Amino acid sequence: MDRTTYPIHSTNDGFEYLFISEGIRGNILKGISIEYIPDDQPHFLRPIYNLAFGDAKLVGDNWALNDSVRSGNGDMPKVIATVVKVAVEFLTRHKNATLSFQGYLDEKSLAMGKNQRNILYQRAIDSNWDELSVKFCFWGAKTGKFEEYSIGNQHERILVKLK
Amino acid sequence: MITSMKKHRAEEHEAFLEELLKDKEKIIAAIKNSPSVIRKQQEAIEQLSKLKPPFPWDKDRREEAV
Repeated sequence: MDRTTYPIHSTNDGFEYLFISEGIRGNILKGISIEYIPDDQPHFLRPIYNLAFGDAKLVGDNWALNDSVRSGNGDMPKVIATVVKVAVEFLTRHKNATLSFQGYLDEKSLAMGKNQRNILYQRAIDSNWDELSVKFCFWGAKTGKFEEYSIGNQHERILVKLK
Repeated sequence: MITSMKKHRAEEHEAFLEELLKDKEKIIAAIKNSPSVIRKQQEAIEQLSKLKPPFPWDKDRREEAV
């Protein structure tokens, strides 16, 4: 993907990432956490990791990741491109891993029956499909079933693995 | 004027970044234990455990074996 992305700061183990969104509302710290899903999952999924993404906010004295906030910083394509870059780098480093992710289902999404965040993730995947599909396998999950990832078809959860 | 604004913005960004990176490890540890991350993880475990075969990648593997 040729899109511009923000500089990423990660932990040595490569499971947590921070970057700063710069936009009309100023500098907003964003966090990405990639967590291993335990071994009691079906074997064919292993090793599988879940990606969580949101704004890193100071709540009282403690930092926390908030995935429900809409920052409105006017830089959504760059933010999404940065998240996609992290996912691509993670999968390139963990060659057998499957990465699972699902956008936060907010009130607007529930009212519309569509996961707005997933739509954004899928838009990023779909618009770079020619390049990404050469290197990665994508699947979707909807109401308890796996399905082939297809452009324009909205999935509840997206799974991706290096080919 | 624009150059000066850009310079000011860059300095502001650098200061913000420097301040944050001092606490990078603390922030990351806190993020890892955030209620939203724990909730996301539980949702993923629950959803993935409900998925039933056949799985697309089983088909891919069979084709590879042939």
